[in-house]
Amino acid sequence: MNATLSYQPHLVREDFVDFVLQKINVTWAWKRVLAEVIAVQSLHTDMVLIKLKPNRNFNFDQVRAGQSILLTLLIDGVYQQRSYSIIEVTPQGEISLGIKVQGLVSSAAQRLHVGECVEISQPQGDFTLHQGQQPAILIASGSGITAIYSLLQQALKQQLEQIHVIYFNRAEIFHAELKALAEKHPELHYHFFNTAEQKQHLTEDLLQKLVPDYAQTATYVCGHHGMMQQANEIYAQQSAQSQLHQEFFMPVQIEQSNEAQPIVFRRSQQNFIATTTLLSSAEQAGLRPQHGCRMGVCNQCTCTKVSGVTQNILTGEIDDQPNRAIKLCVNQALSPVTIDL
Amino acid sequence: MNMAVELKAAAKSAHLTPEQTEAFGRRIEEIRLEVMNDLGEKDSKYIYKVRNFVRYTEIASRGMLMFGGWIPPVWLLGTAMLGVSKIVENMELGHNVMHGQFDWLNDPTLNGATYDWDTVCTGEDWKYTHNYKHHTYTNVFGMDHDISGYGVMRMSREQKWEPRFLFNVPMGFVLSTGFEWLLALQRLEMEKVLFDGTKTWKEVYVESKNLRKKMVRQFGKDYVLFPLIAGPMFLPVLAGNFFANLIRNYWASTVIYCGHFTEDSEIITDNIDNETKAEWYLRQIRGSANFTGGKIMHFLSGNLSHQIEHHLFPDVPANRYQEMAPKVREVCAEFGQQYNTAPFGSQILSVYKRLAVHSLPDNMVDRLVATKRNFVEAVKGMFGKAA
Repeated sequence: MNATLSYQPHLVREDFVDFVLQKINVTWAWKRVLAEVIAVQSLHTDMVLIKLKPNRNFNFDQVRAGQSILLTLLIDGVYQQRSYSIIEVTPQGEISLGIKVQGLVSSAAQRLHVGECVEISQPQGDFTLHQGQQPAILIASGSGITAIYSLLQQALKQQLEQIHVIYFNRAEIFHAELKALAEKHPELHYHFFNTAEQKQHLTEDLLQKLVPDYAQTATYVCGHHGMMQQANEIYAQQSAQSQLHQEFFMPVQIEQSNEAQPIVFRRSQQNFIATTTLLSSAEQAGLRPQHGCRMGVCNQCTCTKVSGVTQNILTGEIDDQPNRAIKLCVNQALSPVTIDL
Repeated sequence: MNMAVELKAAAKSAHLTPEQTEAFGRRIEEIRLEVMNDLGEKDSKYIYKVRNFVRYTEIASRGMLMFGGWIPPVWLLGTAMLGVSKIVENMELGHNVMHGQFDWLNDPTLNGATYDWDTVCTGEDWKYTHNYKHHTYTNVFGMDHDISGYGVMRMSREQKWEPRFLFNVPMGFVLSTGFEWLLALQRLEMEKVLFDGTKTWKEVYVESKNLRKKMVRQFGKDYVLFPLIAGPMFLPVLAGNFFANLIRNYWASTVIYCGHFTEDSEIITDNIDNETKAEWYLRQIRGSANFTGGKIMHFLSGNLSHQIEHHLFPDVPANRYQEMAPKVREVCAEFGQQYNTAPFGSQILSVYKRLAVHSLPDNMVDRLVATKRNFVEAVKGMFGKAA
């Protein structure tokens, strides 16, 4: 009943204020972060660089390298949201995103025009570089390079003793830039694998060859699901998981199953294991989320799923998007899930 | 257990076997799926258009009252328009959004969980008394507070007669007049304090914590803030806001009475614990009534002119009810189920007739009905002979 306890009627509707403000200037808003599209450049056949100029609600000072933002676009009448790594923030207050065209939002993002207005979130995520000057290994595959490129800039700025960049891609996105940086900075060791020319996966042998003391080095990995898993296994074998930092940016592939999944109720700081519907499992764990009909009708238990994959047991529909409204009584978890309750 | 909802003798619908009921449920489910799979840009554009209608009419009407409130025709137009703006905000926008009909837009400003409408009742309380209690236990006696006349009117013989019910009909008007306050206070069930003594004022006070905040907000907005901003137009604005709220109250209450209080809306007394979805569908149809009308009528009633469809599909965007209605009606005809629909005027009359009938003790009503029957037969007899 947290929601009830903290109830405070709004004095003015925020959407009404924004409606009036946007009549004056499209990027004006009371609290929301709206941004104007400044540039859309092609980086490669299937990757674009988008530059955004957010309004003053954006917390520029809080952006840390490696973080991302959620980009919201209205697609066929529905607001769709995806997370994209921030490549850099310029002193003029512009944000660059590297977007690989692979899904609904990224395809629509590619078609954005200069001057259009989009909504974005505040910077978020804890895929950020450690303090100090200890060496680091940065591993990227595919469009995971956007987050890694951002971390690299930070690493160079922090003057780390040694930086290894291991990069797998079919296309040479940012390759020229990285090569130039490596020539300029002797502490940067750049290892690029063009996987269109030679097949190369992340293996223990490869890592051992490139960075013999990798298990003692802070490692940051962003890329395809397979590569991420590989990294996980390698570091687990060395009992060096604490060195490994990963950023997932693609939907996790899962077979439909009803395995027990850990659930977090974010606002009430409660954790439990779900084996049935989210509502029943929460109740079995002694929690009392607001609910009503328990059959997906009354909307009393609707809440925001912050992250994770859920399945509607009525429709069989799988939802892997962040920040979506779900009904606890008819959804089960297919992955660890965080809920805003 | 798979038992069809038992029918009362007076019911105008055919009895269905469990198998027939399930078949009926599947047909209704098909109608729902067809629309759900088709939701998209059209529906999204519709609800944003509705919201803009509310915004523009509110700006225009408040502007009129504030600057031209001293000119009677302008005051009248401003007041009427504000009334319409509030009606649409409450019924076609707020009510539907709070059912989660537009959650799929992923727009936090149109999300059923957080939307709070321009009326005294808090969104939170409404989702309990309406979305949960009323929609889940539609017309189930003892569970659906609405069908017990909100605790102050007598709607059926299941409710024990008490002298206070002699005022059933005037009470209907009184509740209409203060309808937004009725909805707001409904969850507190104050009749338990006033008539049964099963609740204390202290409990009411504690439970009303959120409501009191919302009351201050609503009262402050319409009767303090806007009149004060208007300065010399203080009184016209105050009066305009008051009458706009009143217009909304009368309209909303009448539409809602017509939805469930007409004579043929059945009261369900069964245990519904083991009800299947198909039985639930059946109960929704038997407990609800539509009224006919043009596009404007549907719009202003928040599509509650399609109360039957709304009860079958509370989470389907209401702008789709019009196209679903003929299909539902067809399925009902096929399964011999009464599809209660009539012009608006007849439905209102039917509601007040029901209120009048139940304002008297049952034995008196029975005697009156018998007397009337005897009289009619006597008259018929006389004329029969003469002819």
